[in-house]
Amino acid sequence: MVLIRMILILTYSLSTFSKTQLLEFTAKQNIFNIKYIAKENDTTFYLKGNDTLALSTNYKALEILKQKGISEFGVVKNPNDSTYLIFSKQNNFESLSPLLSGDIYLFNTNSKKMIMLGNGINPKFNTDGTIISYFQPELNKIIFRKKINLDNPLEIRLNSKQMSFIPQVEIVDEKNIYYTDRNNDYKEGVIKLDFLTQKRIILIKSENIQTRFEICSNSKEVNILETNISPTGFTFIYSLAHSENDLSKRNFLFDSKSGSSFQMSCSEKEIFFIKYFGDNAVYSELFRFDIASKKTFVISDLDFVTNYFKFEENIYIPFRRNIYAVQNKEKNWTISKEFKENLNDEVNVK
Amino acid sequence: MISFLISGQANFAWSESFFSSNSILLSFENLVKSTILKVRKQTSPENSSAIITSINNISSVELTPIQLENLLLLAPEGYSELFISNSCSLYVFLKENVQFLNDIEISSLEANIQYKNGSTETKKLPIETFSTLYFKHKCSKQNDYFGQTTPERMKKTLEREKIELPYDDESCAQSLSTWKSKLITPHLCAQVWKINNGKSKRALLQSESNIEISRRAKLNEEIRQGEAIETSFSDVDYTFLNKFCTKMYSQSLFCSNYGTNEIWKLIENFQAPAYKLSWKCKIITGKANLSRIELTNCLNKLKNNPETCELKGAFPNEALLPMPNCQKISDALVLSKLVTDYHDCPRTISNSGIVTAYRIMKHFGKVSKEVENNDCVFPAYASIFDIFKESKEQGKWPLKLCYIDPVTKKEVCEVYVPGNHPSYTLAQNNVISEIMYSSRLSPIKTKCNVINNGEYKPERLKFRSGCWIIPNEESCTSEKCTMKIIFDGKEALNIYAKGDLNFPFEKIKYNTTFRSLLQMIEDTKQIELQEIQSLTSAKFFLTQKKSGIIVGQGCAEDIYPQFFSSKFPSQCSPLPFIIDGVKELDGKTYFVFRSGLDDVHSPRIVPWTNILSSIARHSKLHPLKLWSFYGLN
Repeated sequence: MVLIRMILILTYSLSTFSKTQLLEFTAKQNIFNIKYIAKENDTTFYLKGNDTLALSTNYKALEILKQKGISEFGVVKNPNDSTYLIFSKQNNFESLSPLLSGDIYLFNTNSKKMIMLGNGINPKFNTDGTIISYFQPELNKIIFRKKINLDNPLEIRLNSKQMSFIPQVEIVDEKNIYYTDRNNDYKEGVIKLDFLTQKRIILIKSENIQTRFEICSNSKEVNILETNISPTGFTFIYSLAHSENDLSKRNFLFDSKSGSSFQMSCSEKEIFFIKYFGDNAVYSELFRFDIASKKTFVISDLDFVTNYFKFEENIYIPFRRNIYAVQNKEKNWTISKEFKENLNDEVNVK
Repeated sequence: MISFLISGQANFAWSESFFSSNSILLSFENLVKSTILKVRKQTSPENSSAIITSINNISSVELTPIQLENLLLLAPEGYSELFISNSCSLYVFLKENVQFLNDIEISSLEANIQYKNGSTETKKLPIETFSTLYFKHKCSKQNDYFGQTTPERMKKTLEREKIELPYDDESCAQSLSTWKSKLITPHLCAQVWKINNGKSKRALLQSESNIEISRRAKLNEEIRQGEAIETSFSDVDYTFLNKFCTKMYSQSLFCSNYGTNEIWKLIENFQAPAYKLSWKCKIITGKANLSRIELTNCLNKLKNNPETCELKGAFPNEALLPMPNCQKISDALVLSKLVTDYHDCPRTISNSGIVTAYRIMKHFGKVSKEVENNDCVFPAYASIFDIFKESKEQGKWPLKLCYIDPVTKKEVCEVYVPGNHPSYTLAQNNVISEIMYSSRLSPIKTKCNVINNGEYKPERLKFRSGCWIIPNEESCTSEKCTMKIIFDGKEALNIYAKGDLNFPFEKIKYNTTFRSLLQMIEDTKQIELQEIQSLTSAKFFLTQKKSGIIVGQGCAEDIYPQFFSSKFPSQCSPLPFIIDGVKELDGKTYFVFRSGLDDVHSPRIVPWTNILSSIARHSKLHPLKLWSFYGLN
């Protein structure tokens, strides 16, 4: 009951000290301990102590995963049902390696059943929630499992053997798997794989090692972010229908010559990403690209955004000691300033 | 005027067609040509009848105005400047037989002679005679310095002069002015010229095969003379004086070497230690040791091809890629003060806390010589093991090598330190040798060599005997590894590592006997640690403490969002780092930064905003809510 109360007092408040117009996400306890909130049954995953992941719902609270030692937990929701992927990295304040695998579990909030899937990083569901994928950095393999056949892991071995390379993976279905890899010259590319025939098509290959790609997909197309590793670089976002294998048929959505981007995610209507801009690309904010109107909006005002996360459709930005919501209670964007670059490549949002 | 004339001289090789349409330059060319002819005539050897027989009757000698003018006209710009600031310096060069006029060998000089009886005459004098007379009558004070620059006394003279390298434009201007006015300067420049002359003659000898014997002997003599003088010069002395003597006429040219913000120039001038880039160059060139020339060539390559550093210069696949380009690395290294005379392997060490702790100990000279070797893994682990020993806590060392004893069929484990070393008892290779001996798989204690799977060719003779350690490539980091031991050509034993190398870089629990790496370093190595709470304190600490560095731990997702993208709420991968330099640009503060995943020789320049975000978010997720930002001194 105490646990439930903790969640109920979650609220938004205007930040007293910051100049931001965004609403601060607050709670009586450490807001950073909340790992996921979903509307269904008022579900909340949270960190209990330093080593336990707990779950609170309308009906009860329970510990669902206890580890030995101080551990990190991550929770990823299936968009279409009550299952969640749980990522747990034991002793993460002692192993001190961002590229070390953690344990990955599948958890059902209805049955409370937890299944260990394996070791890796970056677990995710595909668009319709029927396929689970994760990356094993130690073995350089992308592993994916169909939910209806969890005991049969399938794997995609990468060419890249670099410590810092973590591939992007988007699985639509077994015939349409998109992932990034690097060749022996360290140049990155986006590959489309038909797993059934093992036919691979290189959709695009970078011309230099500074270029990197991110991918995300919706039901109709894959969106590709082509950008530069340096903040002062460029950004292109384009889409390609799942039925297409020819990149010349792509649809350009967004381009910017001054400022690279990262952490792209997408839904059917929108694409979100963090982009650098301004002189020497010193600023970074969360951007929203509206697919219907093809307009881009800056939806934060924190100057130095480095990451964001979603609880279902709600987007939050952890910024230093606080977490901010970019939507208000009515789910409207608190800040939404259209982004345009003029001919001199100056950015007009600052 | 002189510089104009000299620049005209440099254009001497322009084509005839150019001059035909430029009448002013054509007449200038003719002037230079005629001057050369005059000087050749004036300075050529005189026949014996014209030489005066007694010098005792002479009261003074002077070069004829026309002789002096012609010498100055044709002298290189650098030397002319010296001659103007100290008129005796011209005569030092003449006496030292410095052939400063290209292609004109000076044997005699046209001089006005004044005799004791009051009569005067103009005559050609052999250069030795002229010099003796001139220094006796006109530059007697300067004459004393010849004795100080003899090959025997040169070294001591240079030690006494104590060359201080300029460090900015102001100190450079001061240095230039001071050295121009010193009486010893022309003597030192004359010696530098002889060194350079020897080098150029060596190159000539090597490039031309048809040189007659007498000329060859003369060239060899000049080479020997240059080499003999060079032994008295340290690299620092020679580099500084060579730059001074050849560029003193232009403050901007001379000081471009010293007011520079480029690490290549600083290393070339010995203003920055060579290790800042020599380890990178060793990997790029594939050479274990680099000569000064090889290093300079490599520096030029890095300067001219900045993209080289993005992938090359670190051990393959050991660091976060791409690394910054060479220009950005140069910008960072100019500001960096971390002592990095070694190369490590972050990926194989596999714990960024150990990588960072080792780098801290190396910076403060707290790594024992006993553990130093060429292995890029062993010294880091051994240094950590050392602080366990010093703390009398070696019992808590978690790493062991285990095997199933062939006789008892039971698991046996031995403490070990990852990495290899020729003699350190607990080094992985030596522990395996001991295991082979104690389990009676080897009749004697045999040295075991580590090789990778690809290198092991059982059909080759050398692999048919001895002890070979072959790590399992697929999941082998230095802390988690299975190894095949091949003895006398046969697979003898499987050995596996046990124990997680889970060491907190900083404190994560109260009331625990298991201390963090930072606590152990502070306690055993007498390194003072202080908390840093603000940007102002950080900047103050770095600028005021000569050897002070800042260490910390933050979320990788905030430090390097391009590399580590957040995938779920409140994701934070704790990443230790070292900051050892600061710079301001357009009102923003940037730090010289090395995370425990970065190549030690490829620092990045990271904005304060990223560092602040990473520490602040990390503190919210830290078990003790610590603000992980400390100054070490």
